[in-house]
Amino acid sequence: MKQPRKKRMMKSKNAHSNRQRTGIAVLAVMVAVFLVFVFRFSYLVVGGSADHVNLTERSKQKYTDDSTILARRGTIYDAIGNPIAEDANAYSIYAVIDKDYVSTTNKPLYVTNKKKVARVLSQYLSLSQKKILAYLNPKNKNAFQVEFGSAGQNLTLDIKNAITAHHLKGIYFTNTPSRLYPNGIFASHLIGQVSSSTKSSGKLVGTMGLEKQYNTVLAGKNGYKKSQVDSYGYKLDNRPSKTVKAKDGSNIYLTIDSRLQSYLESLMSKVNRKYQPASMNAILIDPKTGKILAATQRPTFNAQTQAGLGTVWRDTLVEDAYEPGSVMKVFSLSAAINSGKYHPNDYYQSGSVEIDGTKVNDWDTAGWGTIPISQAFTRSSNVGFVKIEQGMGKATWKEYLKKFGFLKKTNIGLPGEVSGSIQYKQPLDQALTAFGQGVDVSAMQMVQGLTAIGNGGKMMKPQIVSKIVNPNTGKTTTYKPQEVSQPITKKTASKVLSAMEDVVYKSYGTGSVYKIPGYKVAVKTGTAQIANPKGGYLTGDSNYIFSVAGMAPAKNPKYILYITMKQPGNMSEAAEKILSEVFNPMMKRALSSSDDSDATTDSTSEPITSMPSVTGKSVTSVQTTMQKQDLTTTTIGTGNRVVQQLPRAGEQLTSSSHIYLLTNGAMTMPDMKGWSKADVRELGTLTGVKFKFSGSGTVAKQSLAPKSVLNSKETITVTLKE
Amino acid sequence: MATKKENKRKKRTGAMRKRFMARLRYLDYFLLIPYLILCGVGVVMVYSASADQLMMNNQSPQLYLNKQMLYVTLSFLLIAVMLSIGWKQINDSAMIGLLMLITYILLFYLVVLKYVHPSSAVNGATGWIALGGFNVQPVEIAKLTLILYLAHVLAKHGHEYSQLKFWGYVKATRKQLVCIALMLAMVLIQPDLGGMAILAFIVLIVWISSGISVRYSVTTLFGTIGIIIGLVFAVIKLKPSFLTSSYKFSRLMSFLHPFQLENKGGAQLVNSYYAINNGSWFGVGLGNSIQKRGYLPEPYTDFILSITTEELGLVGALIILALLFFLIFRIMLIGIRAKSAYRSLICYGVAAWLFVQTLFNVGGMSGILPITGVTLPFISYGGSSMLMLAIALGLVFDVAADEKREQRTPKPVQLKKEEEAHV
Repeated sequence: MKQPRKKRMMKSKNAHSNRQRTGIAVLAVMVAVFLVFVFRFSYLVVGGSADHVNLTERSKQKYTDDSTILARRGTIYDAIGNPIAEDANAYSIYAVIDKDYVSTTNKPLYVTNKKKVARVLSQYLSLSQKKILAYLNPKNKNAFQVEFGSAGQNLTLDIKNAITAHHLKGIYFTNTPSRLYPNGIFASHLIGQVSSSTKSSGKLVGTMGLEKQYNTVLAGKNGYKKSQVDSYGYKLDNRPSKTVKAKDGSNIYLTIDSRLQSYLESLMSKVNRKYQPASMNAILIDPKTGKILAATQRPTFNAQTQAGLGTVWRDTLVEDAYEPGSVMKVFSLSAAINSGKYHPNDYYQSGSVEIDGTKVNDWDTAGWGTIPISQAFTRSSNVGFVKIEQGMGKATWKEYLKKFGFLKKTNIGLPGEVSGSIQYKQPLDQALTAFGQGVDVSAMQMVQGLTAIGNGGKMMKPQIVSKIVNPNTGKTTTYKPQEVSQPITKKTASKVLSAMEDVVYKSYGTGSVYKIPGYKVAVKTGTAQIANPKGGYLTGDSNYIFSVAGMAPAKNPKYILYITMKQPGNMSEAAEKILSEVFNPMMKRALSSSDDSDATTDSTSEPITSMPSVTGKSVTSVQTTMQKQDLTTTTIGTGNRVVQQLPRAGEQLTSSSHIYLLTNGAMTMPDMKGWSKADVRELGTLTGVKFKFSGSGTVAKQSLAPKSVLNSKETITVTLKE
Repeated sequence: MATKKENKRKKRTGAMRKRFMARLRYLDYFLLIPYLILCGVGVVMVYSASADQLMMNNQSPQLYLNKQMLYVTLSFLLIAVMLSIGWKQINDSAMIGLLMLITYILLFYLVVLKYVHPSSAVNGATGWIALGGFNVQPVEIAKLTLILYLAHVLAKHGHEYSQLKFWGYVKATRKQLVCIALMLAMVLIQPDLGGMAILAFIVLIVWISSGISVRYSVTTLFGTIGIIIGLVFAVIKLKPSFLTSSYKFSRLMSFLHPFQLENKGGAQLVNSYYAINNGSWFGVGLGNSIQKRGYLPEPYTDFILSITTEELGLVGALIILALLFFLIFRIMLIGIRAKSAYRSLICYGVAAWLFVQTLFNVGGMSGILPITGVTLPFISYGGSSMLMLAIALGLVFDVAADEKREQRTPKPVQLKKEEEAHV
C-alpha cells in the first residue's frame, strides 16, 4: 500500500514539475514575442519607414489633395467689344455600368435602371431611347463605363444641370474646357483654333492664327490648391494648405469690326458658292491707321463646329506667296512718278515688246496702237510698264519694291508669315516684276504697300490687335498705328490715286464694273498668270489669280479693299464682274457705316431693320423676339443657348427673312419642308453640312429625318418640287 | 415542498454571496489593476476611433461608446458571477459535456447556414448568430469550452501522462483529440482560418502542459512553431500553383509587399503603418487621428491599436502592450505556481488565448504576421469576445484566490515543499 502511494506521489511530483517547466517555456515564448513587438514598433516609429518606403512622405502624399485651378483663357473681342472667341465649359456625359461600383455602404453607384436613364437622357441628348439603351448594353460585358458618342459631348452647363436634377444613378459628367466661337465662319484662319492639351490637365492651347500667336497672353497661368484632407475629402486641421489663384489670361481686342467682317463673310461665301474658285482672299484695311477691319479667305471653316477645318490649314493672307499680277503696277507707277522717271506723254507701240528674244504681250495681244504712257496704267498695258520699268532702271525699281515693304515680313503678328521672293537677274525678269510677275508677295504685303497710296505716301503697318487687357491687373496695352516708312511723297500718292480713279471712270479703263453710285472709287485690277510647277505658266481661261485693289473715297481714302480669286471653277461671268460682287457691296457697306458714324444727320435713308446679335442668348427669348417681328426662326440643335446665327448681326432683314439659330449641344436636322433652295444653302453654311439637290422649287423631301443628328461629313439629299 | 425548495435556493444564493465576499479578500490585484486599465483604455479608444465614422453615417457618435461601456459592465458582472460560483462547480463532467454539446450545435448551425443561406455571410465568413439583439460568435464560445474541456480531462490523468512517451500520450488522448479536431474542422469550414488557428494554439498549449515529459512538450511547442514557419517560407519561395489563386495566398503576398500590392489587399497594412508613423513618440493627441477618418477600415476593431498608436504615440502603445503582456505573464505565473493540475491548465489556457489573440492582432497591424482579422483583447470594440474573456478571467481570479488562500492558511507540509522546490 505504501509503495504504490509513494509511486503515485512521485508521478504526481513529476507531472507537476513537467507542467511548470512547460509553462516556463511557453512564458519564454511570450516574453520573446513581447520583445519583438517592442522592437517592431520602435523600428517603425524611429526609422519612419517600412518595406523601404518612407512613411511620412507617402502618407503626406496620400493626404494631399492637389487640384489645379484652371486659368480662364482670355476672350478675343472685335473692335467694338463683341466676343469672337471665348471660354466655355463643355461637359461630356458617361454612364457607369459595372455592378461592382458601389459606395462604402454598399449602395450602387452604377446605372440601376437602364430604361429610366434612356427615357430621361433621350429628352436632352439627340439620341433615341433605343439608341441609348444600345449604348448602355455594350457588347463588351466587362465594360466599366460607356459614353454616348458625339451626342453626349459638348453639353452646356444648363443641360448638365437639367440632367443632374433627375438624380439618375450611375450617370456622371466630365468637364472639359472648350472654346466658343459664337460667329461660326468669321475670319476663322486669322482667329485660329485651340485644342486641349493632354499635358496640363486639359488646358487649352492655341494651334492656329491669333490663338496660337498670342497663346501665352491668352492662356494665363493655372493656379493650384494643395491641402491635406481625410479620405472623405474634408480638410484636416493643423495641416498646412496652400492655394495659388489662377491668373486669368488677357483679353485681346482686335481691329476687326464684326459687322463688316460678317458682311464680308457672307459676300465671300456667296461668290465662293456661285463661282467655286480654288481660293480667295479679301482684306479691308483703313489706310490711315493700317487697322484691318475685315479679312477672310476661302476655303474657310466654321470655327464653332470645325466643319471644313481639314480643307486648308493655312492662313493664306500671310502664309501664301503668289505672283500678284497687274495690281503691282500701282507700285511701279508710284516708283516711276516718285523717282521723276515717269513721262506720261511719251508714246509707245502697244500689243507686244521683245526683251532678250522673249515676247511680252498685253492682255489684248492686238494692243491699242501707239498710245501715251499715261494710258498704260488705265489700260493695264504690260508693254507700257516694261517701258516704265526700263525708264527708271532696275536699281530704282528694286529700291522701291523694298521701300513698299516687299520681300520682307509685315510682322503683323500672325503665325507663319512669309516674306516673298523675287527673280531679278535678267532684264526680262526685271521687266516682268513691273507688272507683278516673277515676284512673290503675300496679300498682307500688298495691302501694306497700298496704305502708302491711300495715306498720302506714308505706309502703315497692318494691324490686327488694337489692345490687350490684363484682367488681373487691369493693365491695358494699346497698340498705336505704326508708320513703317514713307516710300513716296504725298503728291505722288495723289497722282497714283487719280490714275486708279481713271481705271474706273475712263472709258478705256479696266475697272468700270467697280463703280459705286454716290462715291468715287479708285481701283487697280489684276490678272496674274500662275506659275506651272512643271515650268512656264498655266494656260486656260480660268487659270489666273484675278484680283482687285480699290480705295474709296478716291480723294481721301478711308478704306482699301483688296480681293484675290484663284482659278474660278465656274466662270459664268467675267472675272471683274465676279470680284465686283464682293467689292461693290462691301465697299458700299463700309462707306455707309462710316457715313452713319460721321454724320448722324442723314435722315433720308429709310430705317433699316438689321439683324441683332443674338449669340449667347437663350433660344426661347430669341424666338419670342423674332416672332413679335413676324420672322420665321429655325432652331438647329438640342441646346438652349444660341452659338451661331444667320443672318449675321448687322445684316438687313426683310419680312421674308428666315432666321437660323444654331444652338449648343448636338446639331439636329430641322424639318425643311417648304424651304427654298437658298434657305437650305444658308443652313449648309451654318452647319457645314453638304446638301445635294434634285428638282426645283421648294423642299418636298429630305434624306435625313427631322431631329436626327447632323453629321457634317455626310451629304444630305434634298428633293425639291414646284 | 415548495418552501423547502425555496429555502434551498435561498440557502444557495446566500452561500454564493458568502463565497463571493470571501473571494474578494483574496483578489489578485496584479490581475485586476491591468485589467481595469485596459478596459478603460478600450472604452476611450473605441469612442475616439468610432465617433467620426458613426457621424459620417448619421449615427450617434456615442453609439459604440455606450455599447462598449455596457459590455465592460457586463464583464464585471460575469467575473463576479464566476467568483460566486467557483471553478469547482464548472469542473464537472455533466457540465463540460453540456458545454461541448452546445458549442457543437452552434458551430454546426453555422456550417448548415453557410450552405443553406450563403447570403447571411458577413465579410465572406459566416461567424455570427443573431440572438435577440446580440451577435453571438460561436468561435468565441468554443475557445472557452475547449479550455474547460481539456483542463477537465487532462488534469485527471496528469500523473499517468508523465510516464508516457510522446506517441503513447497521443494514443492516450486520441478520443479527446478527435473531438477537438472535429470542432476545429467546423470552424475552418466557415471559413475562419484565424479562429481555427487560435483554437489550435490554445489546444496545443494546454495539451502539452498536461504533465508529459518536458522533453516532449518543449519539442512539440518549438517543433510546431518551426514547422509553421517552414511551411510559410516554403509557400512564399515555391509559390505552388494550387495555392496562388487562393484568397489566403494573396493575403500572404500583400503582407509581404504591402506597398506594391496596395490596391490588392495591402491597403490595410499600409494605412496601419501610416497611423503608427503619424503617432511617432507621443502621438498626435487623443481624438486627432487622421487615419481613422476613412483611411483605415475598422478603426475601432481590428486596427484599434494602430489608431491608439497614432493618437497616443509609441510610448502610449507600448504602455498598453506592456499592461496586456503583464496580464498574460501574471496569468501564466499563477498557472506555473498553481498546485493542482486543473488550476494550472485553466491559467495556461486563458493566457494562451489572450496571448494568441494579441499576437495575431498586433502582429497583423505591425506587419509581422499576415492580417487575420482578430480583435485585440479588452481594447477592441465587440461584445462576444469581451464577455467570453470575462468568464475566462473570472475563472483565473477564482484560481488565483484559491492559491492565495492556501498560501495564507498552510496545508500539508509536503505540498508546500513541493511548491517551493519548483518555483
